[in-house]
Amino acid sequence: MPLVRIDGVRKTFTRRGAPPAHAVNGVSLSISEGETLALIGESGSGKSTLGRIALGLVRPDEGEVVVDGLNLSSAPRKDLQRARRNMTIVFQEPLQSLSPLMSVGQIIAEPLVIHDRNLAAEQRKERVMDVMRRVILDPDLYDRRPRELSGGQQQRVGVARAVITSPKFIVLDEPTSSLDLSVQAGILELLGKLQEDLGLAYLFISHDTATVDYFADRVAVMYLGQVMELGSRSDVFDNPRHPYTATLLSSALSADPREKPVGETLMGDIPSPSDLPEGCFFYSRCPLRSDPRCAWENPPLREVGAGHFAATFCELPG
Amino acid sequence: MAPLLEVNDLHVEFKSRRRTVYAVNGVNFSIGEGETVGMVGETGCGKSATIRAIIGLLRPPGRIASGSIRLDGEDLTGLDARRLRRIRGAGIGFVPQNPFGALNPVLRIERQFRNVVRAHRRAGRGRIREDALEMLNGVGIADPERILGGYAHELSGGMAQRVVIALAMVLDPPLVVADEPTTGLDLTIQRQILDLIGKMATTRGSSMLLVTHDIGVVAQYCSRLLVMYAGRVVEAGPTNIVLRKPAHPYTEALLSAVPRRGRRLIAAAGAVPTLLSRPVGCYYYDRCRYRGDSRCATETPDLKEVSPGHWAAVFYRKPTMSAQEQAPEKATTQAQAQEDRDGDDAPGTD
Repeated sequence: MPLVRIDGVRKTFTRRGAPPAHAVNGVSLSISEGETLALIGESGSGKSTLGRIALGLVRPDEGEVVVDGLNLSSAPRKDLQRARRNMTIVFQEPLQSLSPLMSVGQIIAEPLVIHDRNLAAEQRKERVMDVMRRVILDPDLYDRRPRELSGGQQQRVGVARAVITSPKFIVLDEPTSSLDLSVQAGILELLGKLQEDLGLAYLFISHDTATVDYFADRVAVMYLGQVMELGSRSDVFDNPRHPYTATLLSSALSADPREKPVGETLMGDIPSPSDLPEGCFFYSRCPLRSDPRCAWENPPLREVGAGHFAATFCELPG
Repeated sequence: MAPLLEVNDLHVEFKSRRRTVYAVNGVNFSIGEGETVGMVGETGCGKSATIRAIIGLLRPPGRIASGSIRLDGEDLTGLDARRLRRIRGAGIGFVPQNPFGALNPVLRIERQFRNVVRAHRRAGRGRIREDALEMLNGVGIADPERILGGYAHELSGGMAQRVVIALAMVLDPPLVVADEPTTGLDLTIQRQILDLIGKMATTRGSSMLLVTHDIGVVAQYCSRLLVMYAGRVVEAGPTNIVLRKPAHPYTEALLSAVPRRGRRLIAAAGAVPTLLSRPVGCYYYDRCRYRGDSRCATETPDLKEVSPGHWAAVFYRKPTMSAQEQAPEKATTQAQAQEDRDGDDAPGTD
C-alpha cells in the first residue's frame, strides 16, 4: 500500500474577470514510504498546485488524495488538522517562508506549539535543539532571526521545521533552486540522510533535470496539468518515450562541454492553462505530431514498460 | 591587437558609515572581439558588482575604488555621466536578469525602441520601426508587429527577455553584457534564448560577457570562462579546459557540487569570507583542501598562466602526495566539516 495516493485529481482556479485556469487536469500518482517521487515540468505545468493538493492545502474539484489511510477530501476538519503533523512542506524561498519576526527557535518550535500543545517549554526546547543538531544547525543560532542567517542555514531552518513533528510525507517544493550550487549540495545531502533515517516519503518538485536525476527514485513529467510520462528515474531519463520528455531533457545543458545538446530546441511557449488544447496537450510544440488524431484526441497515460507510463500517440522507440 | 574590453585591477567597495564591503578586489580580465566569455561564481563573489562597474551602473554606496575598465582603449572609470550614457546602449548593450524590470510598463514596445535609438542618434520613426521589426524577427518573435504595438505585461517571461535582447542589440553595440539572462526561465525557453543570443552575437560580430551561476550555460555557450571567488578572478581559460581540468581548488569544488547521477555530491566545507575586510593571504585559504605552507596564509596569489591561455590564482596546483593520501579521510569528515561551517558562519554572508 502506498503511503500517498493521488487519484484522478483536477483543479480549476476561477477568479472574477479572468478566464478559469485549469491547473491540474486528471492526475493519479502514488508515493511509497521512503520513496522520492519527483514532479518535473515547466512553469505553469501545475506541479506546485499538485503539491498543495497532495497536502490537502488546496481542495481538488474532482478526485481524491489519501495520505496514510486518511482521505483528505472527506475527512472531518479535526482529523485533517491532526494529520497535518504527518505531512509537511519545505518551500523554495527559504527567507520568504520564515517569519522575520520570530527567532529560529520559535520558527522550528511552532509546529509543536500547534500539534503538541501539552509539551512543557523545556521539553519543546529540547526537541528543537535535537532537530537543529539533526539538520546540522549550530544551536547558537537558536535566538537569531532568519535574515541573520546564510541562505543554506535558512533552508536548514525550513527543513527542521518540516521534520520536527516526525512526519511521514514531505513535499519539497523546489527546495534548492534559489541556492548556490555548493549550498544546494549540502541541502540535498541532508534531505537524503533524513529520508534514510526516518523513512520519509518525498514529493520533490523541481524544474531542474540534473537535480532530479541525482535525487529521485521515480519521476513524473508534467505538462499543462497532466502527467505526460511516469516511471523510474532510469526509465524516464535514459529511455524517455514521450516526445515532450525527450525535448525537455535535451534542453538541459550539460556541465560537461563535451556533451553537446542534441536534438532540436523546443520552439514556442507552453499553452495557457485557460485555453487548453482539444487534442494532445503537447500538440502545439510536438515535433512528431501526426494529424488529425493528435489534434483531436487527448492520449491517455498507458503502460509502455513495467511501471513506465507515457501519454502519447507518438511514442518514441524503447 | 588590443582586446575590446580590458578590466585591470578593478576594486569596488560599498562603503556605509558603519562598514565597508570589499566586493571586488583586483579583478583582471579581457574580452576579445567576437568572443563569448562566461563569468561564473556564487552569491557574493562580486559578479554583479563587476558588471555594474563595467556598464557604469554602480549606485552609491558602491564605487570603483581603483583600477581601470577600457572599452576599445577608452577608460570608462573616469567618464562623466553624459559620456557614460553615450557608451551605454551604443558601446555596451545590457541584458538584465529580470526583463520586466528593464521594460517600461506604460510605454508601448515600439516607443521603447524609439527611446533607445534616439538617445544615441537622430532617426525617423519609419526607420526605427524597420530596425525594430528586424531585431524582433532575429530573436525569434513570429509576429513582431503585434509585439511592437503592445505592452510589457502582455508578454510571457521568455518573450519579454527576447524583446530586451532585441533592445540591447538594436544599436549594434560591440559588447553585450548579459546578467543571468535565462535564470528563472524554463529549460526549453532557456535554450531558445541562449541559441538566439549566440546567433545574434555571431551574425552581428558582437562580443559577449555572459554572467551566470549555471555551469551548463557556460559549458555550452562560452568559449572562455572566468571563475570568480570573493571578488577576485581565481581561474580563467578556455571552457573545455577549465571545466575538465580545473587548476584552482575552488573551481574543482564548484564542479563537484554539480548534481550527477551515481556520483556523490560534495558539499563544500566552510563559507565565503564576509569581505568586511580584505582577507590576508589566499582568499580561499580557509576552505582549501590543498593549502600549503605559510605562504598561502600570508600572500595573495595572482593569476598565473598554468598552460597556454589557462590562468589560475593559486600557489599549489596539484595536491602534494600527502594531501592526496589525506583526501579520503577528509571525505569521511564531511559532516564534521559541515558542522564547523555552519557553526563558524558569520551571519549575513549572503
